[in-house]
Amino acid sequence: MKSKEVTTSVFLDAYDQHADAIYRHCLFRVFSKERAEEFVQETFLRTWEYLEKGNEVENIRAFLYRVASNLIIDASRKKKEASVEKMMEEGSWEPSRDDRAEIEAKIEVRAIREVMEQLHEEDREIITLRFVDELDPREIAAFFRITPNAASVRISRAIDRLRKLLSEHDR
Amino acid sequence: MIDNFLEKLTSTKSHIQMDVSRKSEIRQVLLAQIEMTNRRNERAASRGWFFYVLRTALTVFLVASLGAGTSFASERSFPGDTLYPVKIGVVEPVRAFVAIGEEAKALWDVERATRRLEEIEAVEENPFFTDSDLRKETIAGLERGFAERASDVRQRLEDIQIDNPVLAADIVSRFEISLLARQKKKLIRTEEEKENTARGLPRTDTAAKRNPVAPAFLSTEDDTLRTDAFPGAPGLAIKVEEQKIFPKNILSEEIGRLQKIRESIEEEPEVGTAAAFRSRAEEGINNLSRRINELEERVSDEEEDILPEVGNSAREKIRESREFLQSARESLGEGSSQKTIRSTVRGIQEIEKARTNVRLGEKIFNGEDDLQHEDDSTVDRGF
Repeated sequence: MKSKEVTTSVFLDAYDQHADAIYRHCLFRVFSKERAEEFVQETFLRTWEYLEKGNEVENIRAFLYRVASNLIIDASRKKKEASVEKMMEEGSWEPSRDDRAEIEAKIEVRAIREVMEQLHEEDREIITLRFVDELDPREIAAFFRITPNAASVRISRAIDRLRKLLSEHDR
Repeated sequence: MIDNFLEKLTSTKSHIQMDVSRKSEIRQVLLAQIEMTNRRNERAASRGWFFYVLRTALTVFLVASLGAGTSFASERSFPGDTLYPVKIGVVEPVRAFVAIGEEAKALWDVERATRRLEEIEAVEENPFFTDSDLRKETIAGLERGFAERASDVRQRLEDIQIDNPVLAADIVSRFEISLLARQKKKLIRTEEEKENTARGLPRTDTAAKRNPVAPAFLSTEDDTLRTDAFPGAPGLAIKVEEQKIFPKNILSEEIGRLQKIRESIEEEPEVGTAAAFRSRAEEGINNLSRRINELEERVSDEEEDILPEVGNSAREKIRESREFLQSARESLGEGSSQKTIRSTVRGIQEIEKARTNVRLGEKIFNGEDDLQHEDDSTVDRGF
């Protein structure tokens, strides 16, 4: 078992390295800056709880994604489906600096959000893992505790449903 | 259109980061939590195990009182998950209590035993459970749990067999086939691990070290698996290194015991209960046929959209299931002219094999289970 000092150091390094990535993941799942930040905090608090009990984690990055995803899924089960308008009232993502690139990104995110929110939670999760978090199918397989082939099937099905959604959206 | 969207998704994210100030605030929160934890642990270290046990019991009680949503969520939990104590300490004993009749109780015991095996697999495959004392201890505890539940099943079977040997045969077959399927899955994983090692890929499965094939299934001639060891896979043959030492394997031991029970039931004289079972079995066969047809329709409908390997594996399971059902019909047809219930018991087995294959076919088609093939070329198809 690692010493407390080592565990603390590893944990804080993980925060410094991965907080932004976890934030991005959460944002593309819930499309609310405040909620994404809350999920980031809760993810790292839970991870600390797990580590300080003496548990070891081989792949901290994958572990963090798993914890974040579980938190988001639990929260979505408790909360009733909200309309896109209501979610936008609660607070959407705002860029940190008001320059042209940021403003364009803001517009793009709104467009992405309109489509992504129509996907089932499971599809949104896997599309986010693959194209936002850039996990490859093997990492996604480890994430879901399934085989790489099963992961490829799920990715393929999610993309297919997204494609159908986009073609309906553009009519 | 889809490519544009995905490209937009990938490019937009690079502009997204947390506010620096907010990131710093959260870091302070985490530091405060670390400090609090360290102080709490220093105080708790002197209090011993009593408070740990009391806290665990209180946690179980409190979580149990949260209601149906919690108990439902706990059903899919594994060792290490927050709700696992609820599953083991509350939900499973309650379900055992409310099961009415010997059949329901015996099938629930089978379910509980199978769950312990699933949990062992989950711990073995969990990358967060590194190879440590905790992992070994957890698996040892689960193996004990499996052995206890399997013993419960056998005790109930002894009682059931007296009045209703056909029902006893049905329960034995379900349990036996389920264990054989898991044994087969372990062997395939062992082979995959060997291939990964040969290719220089990291090992993810330590099961190969812990549960190699037991000698009973090996041919005495060339160390390949006996082709009759797995009725559902007559062509399966795996080379095993001679120098491996084979410790006790809980699965193969239990399979051996169940086979003996089933063989003893087969020698029971034909009685009225067998005839009653045959009509129930016919209904089971018809239901399975419907499921197979539905799966085949889905495979045909989605032929163009799914990966070829998925379609081929699903079709193979469909074909095997139909063969088992045909074999079941033949065995059950013979049953009425036999002096013992051997043919009826064989028919029961074939139905269970068909059921297992259909279930596997559905899982493969839904992307929930392994495809049994050699190469990983699907991983490189740009997904």
